[in-house]
Amino acid sequence: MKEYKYAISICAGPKCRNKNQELIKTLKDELEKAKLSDVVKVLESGCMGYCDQGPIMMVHPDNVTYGNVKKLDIKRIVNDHLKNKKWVSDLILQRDQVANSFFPNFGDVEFFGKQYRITLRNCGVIDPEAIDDYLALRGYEGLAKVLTSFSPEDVIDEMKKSGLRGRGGGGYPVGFKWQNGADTPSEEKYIICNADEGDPGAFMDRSAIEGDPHTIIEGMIIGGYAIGAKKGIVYIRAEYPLAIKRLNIAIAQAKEKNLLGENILGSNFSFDLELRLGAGAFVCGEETALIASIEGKRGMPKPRPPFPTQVGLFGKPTVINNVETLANIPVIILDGAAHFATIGTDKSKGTKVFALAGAVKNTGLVEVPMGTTLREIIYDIGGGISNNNKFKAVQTGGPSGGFIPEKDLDTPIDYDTLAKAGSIMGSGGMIVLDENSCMVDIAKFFLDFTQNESCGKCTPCREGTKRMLEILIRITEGKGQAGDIEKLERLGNMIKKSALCGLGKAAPNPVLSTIKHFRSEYEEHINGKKCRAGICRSLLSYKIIEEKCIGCGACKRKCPTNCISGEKKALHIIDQNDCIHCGVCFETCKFDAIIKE
Amino acid sequence: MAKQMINLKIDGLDIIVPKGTTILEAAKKIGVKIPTLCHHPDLSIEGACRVCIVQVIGRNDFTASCSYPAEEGMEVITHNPEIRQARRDIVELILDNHPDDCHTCERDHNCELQRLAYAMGVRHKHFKGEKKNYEPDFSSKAVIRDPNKCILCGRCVRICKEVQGISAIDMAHRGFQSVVMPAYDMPFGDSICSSCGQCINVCPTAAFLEKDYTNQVWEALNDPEITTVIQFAPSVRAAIGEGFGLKPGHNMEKQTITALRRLGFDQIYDTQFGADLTIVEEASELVRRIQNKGPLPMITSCSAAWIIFAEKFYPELLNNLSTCMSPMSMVGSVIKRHIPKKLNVKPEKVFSIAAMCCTAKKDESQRDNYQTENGERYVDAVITTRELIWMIKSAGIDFVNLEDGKFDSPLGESTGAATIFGATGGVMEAAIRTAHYFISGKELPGIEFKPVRGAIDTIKEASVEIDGNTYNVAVTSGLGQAQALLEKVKSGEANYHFIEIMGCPGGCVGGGGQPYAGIDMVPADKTLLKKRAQALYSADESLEKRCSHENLNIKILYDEALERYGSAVAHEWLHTHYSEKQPRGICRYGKPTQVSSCITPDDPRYKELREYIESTQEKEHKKSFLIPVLHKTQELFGYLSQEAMDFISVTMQIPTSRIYGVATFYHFFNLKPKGDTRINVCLGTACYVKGANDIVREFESELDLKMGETGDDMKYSLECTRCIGACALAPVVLVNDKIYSRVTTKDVKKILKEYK
Repeated sequence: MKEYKYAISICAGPKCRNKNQELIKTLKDELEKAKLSDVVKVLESGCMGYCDQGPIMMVHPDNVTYGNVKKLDIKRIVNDHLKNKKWVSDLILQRDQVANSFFPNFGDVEFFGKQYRITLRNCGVIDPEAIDDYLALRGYEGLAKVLTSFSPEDVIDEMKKSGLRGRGGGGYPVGFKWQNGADTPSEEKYIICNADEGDPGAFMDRSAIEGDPHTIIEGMIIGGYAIGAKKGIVYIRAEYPLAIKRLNIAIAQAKEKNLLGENILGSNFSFDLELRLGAGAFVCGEETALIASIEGKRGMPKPRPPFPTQVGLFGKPTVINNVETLANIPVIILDGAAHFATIGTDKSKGTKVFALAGAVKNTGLVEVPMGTTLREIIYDIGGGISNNNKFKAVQTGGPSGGFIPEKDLDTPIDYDTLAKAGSIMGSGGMIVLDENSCMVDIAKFFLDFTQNESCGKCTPCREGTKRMLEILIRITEGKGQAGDIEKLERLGNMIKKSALCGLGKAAPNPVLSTIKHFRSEYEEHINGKKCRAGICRSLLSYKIIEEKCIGCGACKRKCPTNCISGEKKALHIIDQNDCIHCGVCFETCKFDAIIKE
Repeated sequence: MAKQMINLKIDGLDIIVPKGTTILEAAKKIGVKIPTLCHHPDLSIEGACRVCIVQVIGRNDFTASCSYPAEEGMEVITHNPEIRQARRDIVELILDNHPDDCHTCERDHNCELQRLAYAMGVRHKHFKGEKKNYEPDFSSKAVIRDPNKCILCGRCVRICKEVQGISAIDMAHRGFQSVVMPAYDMPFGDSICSSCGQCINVCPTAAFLEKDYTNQVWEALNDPEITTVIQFAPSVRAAIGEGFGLKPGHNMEKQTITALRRLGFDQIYDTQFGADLTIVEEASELVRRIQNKGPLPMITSCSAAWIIFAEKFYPELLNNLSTCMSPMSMVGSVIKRHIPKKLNVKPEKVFSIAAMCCTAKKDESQRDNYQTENGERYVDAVITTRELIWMIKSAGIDFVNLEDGKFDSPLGESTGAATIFGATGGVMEAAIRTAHYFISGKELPGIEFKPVRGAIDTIKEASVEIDGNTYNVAVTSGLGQAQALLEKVKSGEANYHFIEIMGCPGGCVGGGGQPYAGIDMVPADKTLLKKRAQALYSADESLEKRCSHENLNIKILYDEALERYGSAVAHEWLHTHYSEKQPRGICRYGKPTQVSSCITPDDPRYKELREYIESTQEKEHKKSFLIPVLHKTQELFGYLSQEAMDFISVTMQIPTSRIYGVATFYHFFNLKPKGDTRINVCLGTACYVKGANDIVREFESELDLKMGETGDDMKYSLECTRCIGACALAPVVLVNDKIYSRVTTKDVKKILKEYK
């Protein structure tokens, strides 16, 4: 084995991916020139979660992270840092102080400062395509510990003690789910990893798999052992080619090392793993729909009971856990449930990864202990609202979740407090909205999504969300009627109680929660035909300001309805009767002479 | 072992039920009728319509009582103001997406949705909006498909798949766009449908209807030049009363004759005459086949749906089908060849009508060779029991109180053997009665042969001893069971001499043309079918002549025209032949020898696809690999063509309708080829709040394409994706595999320039 002095990981997340091949080539060339090829290992990591500053490059063991790295910077990094041990300070993002600790704390940069990484502990640290890297960081030690000194009941007990709850949305305690799976007698059982990350605004599962695929595999093997399943299936989005590739590599490596297959590590336990690709259906995040999809059917949910732990895949008992949940398993086994249970709140243990996006300065993946407040995430980690705009709301839980207004920002986040605030933990999407967002419009966006993703099986979701969407559309188009808000509430509450599956039941949440917290915005749209955020085009009027218009005629030429008139070099005027509020003039004008109000 | 019992409380009433009983069933036992729509006791539980919701104390949400099992100590409330409003709103939502044409709808007054809307108290609508808008499909000779009326309860899909084992239709697309349709939305007439009409029977609305031929009948009746000759089937008389409010089980033969007389039909004959004729010919054929040592087993050919099905899916067994035409067509043939002479009218002035319990008979009447040498159709128009009921009502005839009528001679005579044709096992029993006589010269002791009677949902097997020889017979009804039976025959697992197959569950009494279920009745359920069958068995018992060979007018017909059983003339008049059809798809078991549309096996991509499929078919749960196979197909071809899906259907043995249903369910699959440059605008939340919608609009105007479209020049496809997981870079556009981040409307032109 070669002995390396340095390892450089280059992020291969979506942002960095476009440029990283070029960077890697340049880096290798420069290392060659500097005769350092033999002592510096170059590896591609999964998304490090700090996408804002990509492309990202991390130098180990110094744990120096460089951001916005350009081709020209490579030479400096090689010469200054690797050769002369002088860090390139203008490129440094942060320094990791606690190198080699099991939970690497990403140092003193704000973005990483309040984070606590369990799920993402190895992301960006190891080469996800090298099993040795994972092994070096105690990978598969948890599995070995389980196989040598735990009975399946012990594993389940450990999970119960840890207080780990499902990270996919519902927050069902993992220990109890496993117990249910273990209690149903059957020769054949399955454990499924739900990696069909469907929330349009969450990408922690993708990052976790791309950055550390072996953790998921290890978690699944341990789960399989606990419930008595010999077969595991990872149901993963087809839209995640890199994650699929890395999982396949990892499975092959694990098989080679007898971590998968017959008599794992010489024990009596055999376990095999298979990948199945999703095909683009949000509803397949629902357990029974996911099972139908793996069975080769339309991903339509089924009534429960029977629960999947009783009658699941191919009619056999099946436990389904999501990616983030599984990533916690090896850590709990290694460090003990008691230690894990010290992290988080009374009823929600451990950490949670959020995909922080929207109107915040720092966007990316954030892993924080349960109980961290929204304010800490948004202001301390996220750096506050971008462009110094005013905070309006934060949306959590994606299309099944709700909106949390300013007054609830100091709520310590866990499953129960978020539910109380009218939202859900969900899979961890966290979108921050500022005053430029219209709450009716955003509710419409989410409902449009769920409407589009409704499987069509049950009446409340199929027909009810359609009618709700129609009402929202007419409100945003200035055609709202008295009684519309009440209709939305009536339909929303009915769907919530009557729909067949969890997704249908949750579909009205974004609407109900915006009505709850921002009812006045709805009323303004309906009664005053005004959109205070200036988003709903039909409610806007465009005007030309006399002082700024130079009479260039650009807006006039672009206007699709020819409703702008004016002589050359003279003030132009918009005929409000013919204006269709398309906004082309506003976008065309180079002199900011057109305003919308 | 005694079944575990469960104690629960429904609406305050205590009840004890066996474990596994649903709340719905439990409530029924104490006289609480919870409304249902998608539920059918003989089909799998769907839990889709949500009309049957109840409140289980301690739960936050409502519970669908059709699927939820009773639990110990459970307390259930089946109605309170909140539940009533929710049910009302759910039914209104269905109505909001349903045509407002009750007054002109064929199922006015017979519609489950209409009844439900009344019962739930939907008196006005709150949530009007877009309605589905599809072209009704009239392509089938027997069944009309009107998706506008469909409420997506899925009963038709389930009966076609679970009971009939065909899957001619399945759910396609998804969400608000969900439609029940044949594969590829092909014309229903071109699909693998067998015209059995069970979809009509279970449909709560008018999404499936028989093709209406009453206009032709009225016209013929009004034409003084035309002699109208009508026949009606045994099962019509056993069920027609239900259309006039009678309880199931009344034999209304005599009133039906009078009603037809009043409608103005010139000659009224009995399809049962044809049944007796069938039996003497078929029993002779059986005896001949036994003597000639084959081909055996002989299989009955009376059921039109079964024949349509066999020609598509069991071509290898066509030689086993009796060459006898059905009773209807035999009567029709005699009407056109023999009766004109008797009545002294020209054959071309005779209009032959058959009132049938069946929809597939509409198909049968139009078969190529079901006409005389002069092109006179044996049967000019087939109407169902339902159509006849309507004609009687339309003419203002007080059906129930009509005086008794009598059939016209000579085709009005029949025996008890012919009567029981309408029930599953009836043809077999009638044939055994006559075959016994033909072989041994003696009547079957006791006349009746009960082992083949009754049970609807099994394969009935029996042996009969005649003259010291044992003959094995089997009887089944419903095409799903028929397939199971035929597979046993093909594998050699079973050895029969004679098999009776009826296309519809329960036989003709359960035909696709029978009356709609009345108020508080379950359509096509087994108790109903048994009552209808009982009306026929009672009639048989009451008759003096109970064997077909005793029918006097049949003897006369042979004397006058047909010479003897199985003669050349008899063959010309009463027999037919079958030919293999090329179905587009497969059914549950039956496998067509080839699929004609798979004509490009030379394409190396098909070779690769076949190899891929074969590699999956060695594994367990092989049908579960459909989605991986579709991924592979799309990878190879760029999209999923119908040809490729046909290929997959045959190679994987999955019905095309199901493949199409799966392909249209998932966004990832393209059913049309995509452009060279695929522009994918991420519409995830983060991108949306950062203005992705404006970017979509910009692309739309730059490319002159709408979202989801591909240009005619196949250069660009404009698509959206729900989230590519790059939220921190919002808004994001993916062009082919390249990611553009923080895109503004001003970047759109620049991006497009790269792909010019």
